[in-house]
Amino acid sequence: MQDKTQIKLVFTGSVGAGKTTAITTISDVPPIVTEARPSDDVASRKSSTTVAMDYGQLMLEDGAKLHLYGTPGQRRFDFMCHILTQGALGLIVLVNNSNPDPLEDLDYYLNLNADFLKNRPAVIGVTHLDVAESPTLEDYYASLGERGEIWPVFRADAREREDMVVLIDALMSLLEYG
Amino acid sequence: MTQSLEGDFNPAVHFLGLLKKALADGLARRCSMTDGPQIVIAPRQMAYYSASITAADVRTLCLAQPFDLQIEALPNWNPDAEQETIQVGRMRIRAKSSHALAGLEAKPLAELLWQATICASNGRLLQGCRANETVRLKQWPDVSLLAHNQSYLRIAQFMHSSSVDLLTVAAQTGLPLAEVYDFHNACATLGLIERGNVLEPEEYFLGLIQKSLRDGLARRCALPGLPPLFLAPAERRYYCCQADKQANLAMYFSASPNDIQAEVITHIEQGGDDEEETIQIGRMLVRRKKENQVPRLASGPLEELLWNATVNVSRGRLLAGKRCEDVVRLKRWPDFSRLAQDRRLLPLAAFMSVNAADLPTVAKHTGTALTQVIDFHNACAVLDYLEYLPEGRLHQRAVSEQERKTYRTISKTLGGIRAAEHAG
Repeated sequence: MQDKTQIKLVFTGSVGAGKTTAITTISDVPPIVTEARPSDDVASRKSSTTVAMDYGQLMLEDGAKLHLYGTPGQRRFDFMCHILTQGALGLIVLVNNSNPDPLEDLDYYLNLNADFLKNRPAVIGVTHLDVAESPTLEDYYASLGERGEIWPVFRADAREREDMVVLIDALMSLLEYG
Repeated sequence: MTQSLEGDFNPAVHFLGLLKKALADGLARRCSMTDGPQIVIAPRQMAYYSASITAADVRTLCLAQPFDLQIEALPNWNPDAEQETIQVGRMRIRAKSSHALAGLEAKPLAELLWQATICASNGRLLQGCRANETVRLKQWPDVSLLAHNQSYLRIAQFMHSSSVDLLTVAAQTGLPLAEVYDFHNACATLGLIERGNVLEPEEYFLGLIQKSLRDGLARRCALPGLPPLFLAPAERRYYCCQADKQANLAMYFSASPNDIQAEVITHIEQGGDDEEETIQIGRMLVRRKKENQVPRLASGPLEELLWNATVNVSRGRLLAGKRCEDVVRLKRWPDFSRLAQDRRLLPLAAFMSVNAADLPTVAKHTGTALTQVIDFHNACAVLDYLEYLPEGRLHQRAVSEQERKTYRTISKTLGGIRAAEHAG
């Protein structure tokens, strides 16, 4: 299914961070989602979750397509992350701020994609800040500072198209000017 | 008369000097002339009070020199009561003050300051100013209130639209330099003039926000004719009326601190939609809807207010104490989804987060005007998002033309989506 020359972005992050919603929000076409009833502790939080990937696309002004992939949130499907990020322009990490330890979640996904991030940028969208105010964006920057990285961190609502546009736009700026 | 290029008009030897002194020490003063007008200058109320004063009387006062005037300090003067408490035996009673003026009418102090400057400067430039210094009118004087002629309107139009020196203003408008000086002086007295290429936060509302953050005290700020704005540094939030919020905030941002009445408060009165109060009618206690409801206030993070207050007044002038040659790096990105919504700033943030560079280098590598880089730098500096480094270091990776084209196409498409979202 993947063409190595395709222009693509990958949304990753923990369960319930809003990856499927983000792709649905920004995609021009009805997204392809591979959802199933979760079988582990996720079942208590969500009735269904992505098990292979989500897929959407955005038609660009020159007629080309920007392919949007979402990774599964359950950690047992982490191998999909490495497959999906091959040839991607960059990574959008969504972190659910109402999870028990969102800073650890961020750390986890940055470590998981460490090789990819040696040459490509990431942008971090913090979701559910309306539900949990802490950690703050300052805390995320402090956490990134400890890693010696300074990726942009924005508050984001995966249902808001404008918020998703800002994340992708910041990624493009990093690719061109960073 | 040939005008000097160095300022030689000294307000201290005129009535204007007295007004400035009152503004500086906040003390009310009664001011009178033998067989002439009598007024009370009330700097705390930003007003002057008089009983039926004519334009000719004002002019007489404004042209007076200090020794022509009888001045009396009124430390406890109260414009509302015009009464004082006196002790009679064991009783304390309120009586009409011996200082009282009959039938006082309040007028804006700005009107007197304006008139006093125009009358006294007489074609001379204000001391401490230079004719070849770059200045800009940051806000139009209130021409509905202040005496003006057609020439002043032309000068205001020119000085508001560009930062130029006064010699250029005179040359470009074709008006006598003396008239330009008079107008400039009057505007400078009202705090409407920006000088040079340096952004001094203390000349704006921005300075007040910073002060509140430094001392941690909540403040109620009020501009005449606008709803109040509350600063709550302990919560790191501000509160204001939701109606016409953006327009009102813009007025606060550009206002001179002289015009903003700021008082320290202990709490912010936050109203509800249907507040009730209990009142007594005869023997009965009844509940009714509050007569003077405080509207529910909108709130936002102080960071947002600081950012917007800086961007609004920066206009390409570097923050005082900073230099274009300073090497800077962004410690964290502004939150572009809430704070900095101008997407043209994204390349600046991207470049400055990765590279340590001076501002002209940032401008060059991002293809952005230096003035815009300076505005972005100022807002980031005010929010402490920048670190200043001893030397520059560029890490920019090579981007092929094909890659650049792809990124820009995506960005352009996103710009279209954003425009459609706003239009919708």
